[in-house]
Amino acid sequence: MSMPVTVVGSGASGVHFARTALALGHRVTMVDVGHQRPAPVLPDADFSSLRERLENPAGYFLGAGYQGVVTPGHDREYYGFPPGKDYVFRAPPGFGFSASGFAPLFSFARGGLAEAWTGGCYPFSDDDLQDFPFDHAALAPSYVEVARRIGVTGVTDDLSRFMPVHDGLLPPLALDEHSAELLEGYQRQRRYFQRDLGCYIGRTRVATLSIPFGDRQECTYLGRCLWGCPREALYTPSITLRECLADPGFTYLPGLEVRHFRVDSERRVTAVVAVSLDDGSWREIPVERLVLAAGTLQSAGIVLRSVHAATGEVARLPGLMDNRQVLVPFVNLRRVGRRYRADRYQYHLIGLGLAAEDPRAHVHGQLTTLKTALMHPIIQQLPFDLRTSLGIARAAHGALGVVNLNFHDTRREQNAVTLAEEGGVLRVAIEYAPPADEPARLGDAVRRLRAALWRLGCIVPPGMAHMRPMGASVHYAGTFPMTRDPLPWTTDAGGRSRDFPNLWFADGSTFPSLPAKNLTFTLMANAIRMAHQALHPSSLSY
Amino acid sequence: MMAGGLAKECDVFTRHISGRPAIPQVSDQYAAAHRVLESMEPRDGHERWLLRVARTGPAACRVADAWARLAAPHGALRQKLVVLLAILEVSPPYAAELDQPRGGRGLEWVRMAASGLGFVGALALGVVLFLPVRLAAGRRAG
Repeated sequence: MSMPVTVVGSGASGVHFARTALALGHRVTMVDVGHQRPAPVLPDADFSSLRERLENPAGYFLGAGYQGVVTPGHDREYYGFPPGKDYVFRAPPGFGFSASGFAPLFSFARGGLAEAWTGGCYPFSDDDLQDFPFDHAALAPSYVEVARRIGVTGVTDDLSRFMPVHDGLLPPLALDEHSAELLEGYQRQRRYFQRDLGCYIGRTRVATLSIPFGDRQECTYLGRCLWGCPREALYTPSITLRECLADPGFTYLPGLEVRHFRVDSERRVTAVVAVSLDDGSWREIPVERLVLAAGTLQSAGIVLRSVHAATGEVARLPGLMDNRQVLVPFVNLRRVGRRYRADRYQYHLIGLGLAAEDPRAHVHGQLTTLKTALMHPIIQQLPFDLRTSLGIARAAHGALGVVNLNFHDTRREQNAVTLAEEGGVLRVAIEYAPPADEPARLGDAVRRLRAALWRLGCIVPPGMAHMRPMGASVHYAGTFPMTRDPLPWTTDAGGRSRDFPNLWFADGSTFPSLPAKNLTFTLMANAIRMAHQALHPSSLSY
Repeated sequence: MMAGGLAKECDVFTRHISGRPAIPQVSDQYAAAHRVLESMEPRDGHERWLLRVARTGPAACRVADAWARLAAPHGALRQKLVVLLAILEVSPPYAAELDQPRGGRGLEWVRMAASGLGFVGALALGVVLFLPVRLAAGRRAG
């Protein structure tokens, strides 16, 4: 039995829900703002020749508005978002929000926020899923299905204790020299790391192809990862969207921002109301089954505006979560003065796990050795004049790296998404406060990481560890959690709303807790699991 | 500032950072950045004095930069220098020279030590040149 399904949003969750629904024989309409990625520039050029061959290299690497320059005093970030990824964060006219204690990022791009991800694919373990109404075994087939669709490289190693191994892993990417030395250093002192520091190091799993995969090409190490892979070796959801577009059962409606939905007297959703980006006109699209996959914050906004439109009530959705991230730069003293090779993979190739007494509180880190990243964000932070700092950075370039530590989060009442009036317009309003024990947890992890790096011959320059603001990791979740008890503003294990019988959430909204991992791989797997459940014949009547 | 003044400033600052003169493409980018970026103008007498000294030549620029790193890290001089550094690191012919070591490991350590000593000297001069102005500006503001 074929059912029409309307999906809002083309991010990681939306496209994998849609593709599963299409494979099951259902018709899918996807409503999306859908800003498009520009065509890649000189797609066969490697990083070094790109700088030589571009007519205006500053325009490409820094942007026409110089938005790629990290100027002094700007939150001490070590990376600026490259101008080539501006389309990911471009907002439609009139878009706005208010936030307290949270610096959110929104995406209206085809493929959503994962168009700018670094490809980390980390399955949730049974420990991670303790608060979920299902276990790893229920999700495992979907992880395999995602790996089959997108291509994930990885190996079984010491990090497997934090990340269950699934079938379908491709051979790992080639290590750069610096990463290989760090990994060898860990392997030589493995016993000390594990016993004294509770620290485990291994290969990260990444959605970047090491071998040809379907009609996609493998990574050829052009060194351009940071500016957007021109070969599509690094997976992004727009690739799956393109596959959906080839299916006759798929209708894509771009240029529409869904603002709210309408409900009937039985709280069934009857239509979504969207504003056209072309002419600002309003459009009403009838729906049978609505799947919100616009991302946790935007899906929350759609529901909140819908409730307000129907009842005048301003609801509050507690439980917003995000991974706190701490960036810890380091210098490998053994590599100072040595040259680096630009023709290597630029994102993380090795990762680390810091074990905790409560396994849900383990800390996950991704270790990136710096190669073709722009250096001015780091150089300006050295405590010298720029000439001296540049000399030091030049000598140390091949010795530099950054560990991005991720910390878990839990649903707490005070962290919420609601609406607030601003200039006569109701906008999404976000409130967030970190837990009281956060400084102690972060401090302990950074101390252990410093000790681990020291054993590998690396130092962390004093004062350069940087706690990113909440919201920066873009791992938002928790506003409509899956629960066993049928409470308001929750969903069942299949992501079906307990408030609106023909509404599903396929994005991070439904996560009841957030482990210290990039959630994107699990978003895709969970969307597949939910699609099977939502579109199962037993679920087709309501 | 007039275009010619900016080009001269760019040339001096480029010599300070890279040891080479500015090529026209870099001067053009530097001027374009001034048209779109905020915070490139001095906010007080201390920052104006820093810029005035920095523009006189690469050696003076190093002294002003060393002092600014400590006393005005977010001020106009550092903003200008960091923007220029960002332009240089993506612009041939500077890019390749700026991001790889030039000699062996031992030589690089020696270079870094010498550079560090140069910084200490520049900072000491900076204290003499700029601290009185800074104190006077603070007294006037107080």
